[in-house]
Amino acid sequence: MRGIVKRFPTVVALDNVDFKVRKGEIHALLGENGAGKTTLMRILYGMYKPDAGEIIVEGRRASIGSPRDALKMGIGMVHQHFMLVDKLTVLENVALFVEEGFRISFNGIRSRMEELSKTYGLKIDLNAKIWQLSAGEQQKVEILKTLYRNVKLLILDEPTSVLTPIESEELFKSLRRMVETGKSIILITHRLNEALTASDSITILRKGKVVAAEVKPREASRLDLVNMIVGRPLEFKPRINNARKGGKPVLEVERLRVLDDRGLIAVEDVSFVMKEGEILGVAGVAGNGQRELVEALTGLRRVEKGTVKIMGMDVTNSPPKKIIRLGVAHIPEDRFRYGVAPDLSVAENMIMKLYGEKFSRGIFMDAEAIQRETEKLVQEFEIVAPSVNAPVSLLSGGNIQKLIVARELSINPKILVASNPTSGLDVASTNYVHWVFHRLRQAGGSVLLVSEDLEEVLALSNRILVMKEGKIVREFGGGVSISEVGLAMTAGAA
Amino acid sequence: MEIRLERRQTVSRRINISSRILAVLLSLPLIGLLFAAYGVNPVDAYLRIFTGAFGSPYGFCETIVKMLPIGLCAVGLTLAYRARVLNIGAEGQLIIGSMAATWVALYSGLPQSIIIIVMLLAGFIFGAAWALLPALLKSRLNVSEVIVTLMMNYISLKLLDYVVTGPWRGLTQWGFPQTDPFPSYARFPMIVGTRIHYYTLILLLASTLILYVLMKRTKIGYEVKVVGGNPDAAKYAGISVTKNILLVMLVSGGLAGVAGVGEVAGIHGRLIRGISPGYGYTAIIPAWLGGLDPLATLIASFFISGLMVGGDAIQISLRLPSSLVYVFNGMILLFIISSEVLAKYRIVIKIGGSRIWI
Repeated sequence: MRGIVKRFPTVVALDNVDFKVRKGEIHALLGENGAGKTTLMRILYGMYKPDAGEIIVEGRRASIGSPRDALKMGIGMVHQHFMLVDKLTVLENVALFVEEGFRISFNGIRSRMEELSKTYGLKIDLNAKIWQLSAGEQQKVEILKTLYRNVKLLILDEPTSVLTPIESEELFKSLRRMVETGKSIILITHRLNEALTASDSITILRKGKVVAAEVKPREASRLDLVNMIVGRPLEFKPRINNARKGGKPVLEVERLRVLDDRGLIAVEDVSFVMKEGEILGVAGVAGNGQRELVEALTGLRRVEKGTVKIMGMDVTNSPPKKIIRLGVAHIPEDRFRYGVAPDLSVAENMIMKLYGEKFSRGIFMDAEAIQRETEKLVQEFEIVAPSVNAPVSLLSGGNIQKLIVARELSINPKILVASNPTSGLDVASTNYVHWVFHRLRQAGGSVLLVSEDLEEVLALSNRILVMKEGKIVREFGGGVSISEVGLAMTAGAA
Repeated sequence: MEIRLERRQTVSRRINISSRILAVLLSLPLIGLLFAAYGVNPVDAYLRIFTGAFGSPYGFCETIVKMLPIGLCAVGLTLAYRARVLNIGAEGQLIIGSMAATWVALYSGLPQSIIIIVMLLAGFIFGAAWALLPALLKSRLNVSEVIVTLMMNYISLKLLDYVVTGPWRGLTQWGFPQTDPFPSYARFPMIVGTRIHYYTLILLLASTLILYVLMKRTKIGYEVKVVGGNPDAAKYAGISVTKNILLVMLVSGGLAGVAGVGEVAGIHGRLIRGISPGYGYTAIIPAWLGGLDPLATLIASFFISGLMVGGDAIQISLRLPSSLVYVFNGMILLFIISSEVLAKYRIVIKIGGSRIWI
């Protein structure tokens, strides 16, 4: 791609970008939220038209007007949000994606799919319905779909954001097999470790410009990358050593049992106490009951057995409103399910937690206060939005996450329940959020940090609980090593 | 040359309005084809519709008369649709409201001085109650309100048929399927020389204004919007989804019920079979045409009512089938719904290096 320029009504998203991928390599594309990574790849995949510049595929100038053109040229893309039909089976979803006249030969597709999944180590039940699959399995379906179309270049947009560490490893193994058969892969990511360990070459974008191209991972350190991505050194170094001793308990959970959506036991016999002024980490492979635990604590899911006490008050099965009023903020795992109403404006989403208190007088809303507060938070958290009155659906995933974090912290919580709070955030924003958590702790607040990012949990938490199969299997103090926690997550109970 | 759609960064009020007007304008030539198929000059037909509805004092007043039930149903629906509760049952709620008022007028034996107030209250309460069942089914068991409200329209229609041919059939009506006339104190006064029963008009204007303020300025309006935007997010923010679904259904059902009271007490003076020629269904169109804004919906109701009055006019003068008006209405709804795309996206036409956008 040469000299690519793309302007959006309010910003220049890409400013004269050159980008090159060689045959048979995994090329990592790094950058912060809004650096232009996804935009650049969407141009390559024909979803956007560039305002200037040209795309050269295998030595020839290509005109890619639509994803259909891109696929014909052997370029495929797996988006961050999957494009699958929930109620159909894997096989039917692949059939939808295949353009071969009017008749569909399911047997033909099945045998090809079986062959492909064997070749690349992407095991999947072709008859399963999409909604029955985990995010990681759905991703395999997306990848197989593109492989079915014989892509030569596969673009993956933040593929590991939905994966567990083990699934990520498997994914990279499959990707390695693909490049061995001569395919090329572009990996959009902001996880530095991935770029350093899994890629052959790295390009870094910052604010729509290329700051480094074709960096060899062997020749670069983590710190070099951070400096190139952010353009300045990071301000906050997480510290964990100043927890208050003997703080009052703020959250007491006793012998909790919670069911999942299918009615099976997801959390069983979980008890713990969180104290004033501490960050309590909950580590675990995704799907071991963390989501159900968080939802039960915040009033979104029924508690079958056991009690939840907040500030000494029994709030078992209390409505969310009561729990919010006690000063509990919640950064949800699934930002689109709970976090925002996409068609509503940035301002309307920003006031969702305090609309009844801070932003209203009597039964009327206080439009002026809403405007003022939203603008303040948008600035403080550097949320990139066309305006505070624009619908949230126009924001990028990272900026939506920032909005949610900003909103939850704006209620001055005593307890913050945070599920993967920095998922989808770039290095600088992650650092900022960590700093805010730290500040909250210094001010006597407490954070229940549920995260799949072990480094994050270890860097911030005073204590760490490890969840496995709905139970708390280990508790660690600070200063534990990543491998110890990792082992507890995957191995048997200790 | 290249044409494509680009998402608008903000949707202005001007674009919302103009895209809807465009939708209506675009539907005209298409209906014109239908007129032409009947051997009628479309331009002539449109002129007749327009003059029939707005061109004479009589036509104008009749348009307002039709606007009363349509408008009451429509502004109520805007609230429900904002919460993404798709109430299709205004027709049934209107019928039940008219039946409740009829019972009060004929059989309650209440003193004359309070009877009209009680009729209106009964209309509102029973209209709301008719909406309560689908609301409960939706909020408790997640049953589609579209199906339930629609089915309940038929139930109410059959109930109406039953009472006017059975227990409530008027003794003085020579066997026609209608009740005896209401006593004069149970009838709404009209503006002299017209059929505009102004009690209902006042109620329509008041409820429009109240709903407008409610949606734009109040906590309730905000809650309804969040519930409509994402019910899970509403729950997460401590907003009761159940409460809001019940609220919007009760209000929209109640207003439809009041519309029913207006029909029996204002127009017919009795309950008759077929009390509503589909006002509750017709009201869905102005609710969307008005972009779920009560004020705009009131204006759209006026326009749609004019279409019905004008449709009656051409039916007589041009001998066209009356169902053509319903085809007309359906066509407009189709165009309005399609025009949402225009409100959200802009059309960009690229010719050579220049860029034209709409």
